[in-house]
Amino acid sequence: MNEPLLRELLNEVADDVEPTDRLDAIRARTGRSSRRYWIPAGAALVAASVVGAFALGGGPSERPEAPGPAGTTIASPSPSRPTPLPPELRAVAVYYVGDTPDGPRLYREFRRVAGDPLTAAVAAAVGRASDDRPLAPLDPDYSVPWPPGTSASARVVADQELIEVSLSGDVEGSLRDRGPLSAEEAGLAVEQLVRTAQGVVQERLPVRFLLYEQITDHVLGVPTSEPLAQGPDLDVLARVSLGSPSEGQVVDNDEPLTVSGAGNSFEGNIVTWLERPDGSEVIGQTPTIAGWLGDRLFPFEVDLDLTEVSRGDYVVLSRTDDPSGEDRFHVDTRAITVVD
Amino acid sequence: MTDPERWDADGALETLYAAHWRSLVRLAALLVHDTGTAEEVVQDAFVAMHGRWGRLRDPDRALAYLRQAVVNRSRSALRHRGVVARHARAEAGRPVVGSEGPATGVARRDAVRQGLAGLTERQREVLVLRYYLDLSEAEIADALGISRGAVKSHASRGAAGLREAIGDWWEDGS
Repeated sequence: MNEPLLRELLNEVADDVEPTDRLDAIRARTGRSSRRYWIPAGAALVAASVVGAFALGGGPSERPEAPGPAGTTIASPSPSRPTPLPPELRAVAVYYVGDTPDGPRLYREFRRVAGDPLTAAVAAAVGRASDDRPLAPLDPDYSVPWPPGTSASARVVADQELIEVSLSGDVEGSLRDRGPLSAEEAGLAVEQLVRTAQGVVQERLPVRFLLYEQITDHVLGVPTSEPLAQGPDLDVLARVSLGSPSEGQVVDNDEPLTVSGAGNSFEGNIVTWLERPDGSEVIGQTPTIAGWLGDRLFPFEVDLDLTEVSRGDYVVLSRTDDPSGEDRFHVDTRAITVVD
Repeated sequence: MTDPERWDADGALETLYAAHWRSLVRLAALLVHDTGTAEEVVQDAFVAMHGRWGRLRDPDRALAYLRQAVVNRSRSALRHRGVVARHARAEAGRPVVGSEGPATGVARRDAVRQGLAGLTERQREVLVLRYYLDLSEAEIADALGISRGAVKSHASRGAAGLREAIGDWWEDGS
C-alpha cells in the first residue's frame, strides 16, 4: 500500500472543498438566533463585527449582554457564576417532529426535566430547557419546528377544565404566522404542544393558546380562537415510535434488551432488529404484534437477547409493515452502546 | 473562553466551529461526494454536539463525537439517496480511460472521487479516517466499533479498490 500517495490523493480531493459558512444556520438551530437579534438597539451598528470576533474565539468580555427572550439575562460563562445545584428531575413525554414516508409526523421522546413538569415539557417541545437554554431532542432524527427563540409555558386552568399554553419569545417574524414553515409543519408544531401538555396532565383537556399573554386567533397560522383538541392519531403520529431504549443508552449484554414503543402497522406487524452503525444486521428481525384495527397506536414490546453481541455501538430499529410493496415503512431508531 | 472547562454549550459550539468546521466538511465530502450534503451532515453534527455538550464537557471528546457523528451521518445521508450511490458505484466500476493522460489535477481528483464512491462504506470510511484524518488503527477501530483486524483488511481492500479505479493516476504521482 502506497501510504504517502493515499494521503496525497485524499488531501488533494479534500482541499478542493471550500465550505460555505453555516454558523448562523447552526446557531439558529441550537435555539440561539444570530446574536444580531439580541443586541440592544444602540449596539446594532457593531453587531456584525461582534459576531465575527466571537466566532474566532473572542473573550467573554466581547459578548453582548442583552435581555433574553423571557426577560432573563443570557447566561454568560463568567468565572464567577456559581454552579447550579442539580434540580430534581422528572420524566415527561415530549413530542417532536420527524420524517416518515408520509411526510413529517410526531414522535414521542421521554425526557428528564427540571421544574414544573407541564411548563418544562412544553418548553422542551419548542426547544428550550426550563432555564431558557436551548434544548434539542435527544434523538438526532427528531427536530423542533418552532422558530428559534420561542418560549413556552403552560398551566391547567382547573375551573375551566382546560390547559393554557402561553407562547412568547424573541423570534424573527411572528408566532402568529407560520413564516417559513409549511402548513403541515405548522399544524404539527401546534399539535406537538397539545399532545405534550395533555400527556403531562394525563387528561385530554382542550388546549387554549396565548401569544404574549393574549388569546390569539392564530398560532403559526393555525386557527386558535377556540381551545384545541388533539388531532387524529394516524394523521399526526408516526406509525411507530420507540419509548425504550432511549437515545445513547448504554446497555449491558448480560441482560436482554427490552425494546418497547407504540405502533400501528398492517396486520399489527412491527419488526425490531439491531444493526451495527454500518447497517449490517446483528440480531435478526423479531416480529411483534401491535394492534392495527383501530385508528390509534398500540403498545408493543420485544426482548432482544444480547449475549452474543460484542461491545460497541449499535442501532435499534423498529419498523412497520407495508403491504403495498412500495417500501413505505415507518421506522424509529435509537443509537445504543452495548458494554460487556 | 480560554478555559475549556468553563465553556457552555454555546461557547463550545462557537470555538469548535471556528477550529474544525472546514476540516469536518472536507471529511464528510470525502464520504458523501458532494459539498452541499457534506455541509448538511456537519451542520447536523454540530447541532447534535451542542445538544450533548452537557455530557461531553470536554473539547477533545466533543471533537471525537463530532467526527463520529459526521461518519455516521454521512453514512445515513448516502443511504437516503441509495439510488444515487448505486449509480455512482456503477460509474466507478468502469475503468477510467486516461485518454488525455494524467495531465491535470482536476482529472485526478475526479478519478479519486469516483474511486472512493465505488468502495464499500467501510472501506471508504477506513481509508478516509486513516489517510485524511491520520487516525491510528486503534482509533479507527474505536470510532467505527470494529476490530483492528477489520480496520486493516478494509484499509488494504479499499486501497486496492481505489488503485484499480484510478488506474494510471495511481503511480504517476503528478
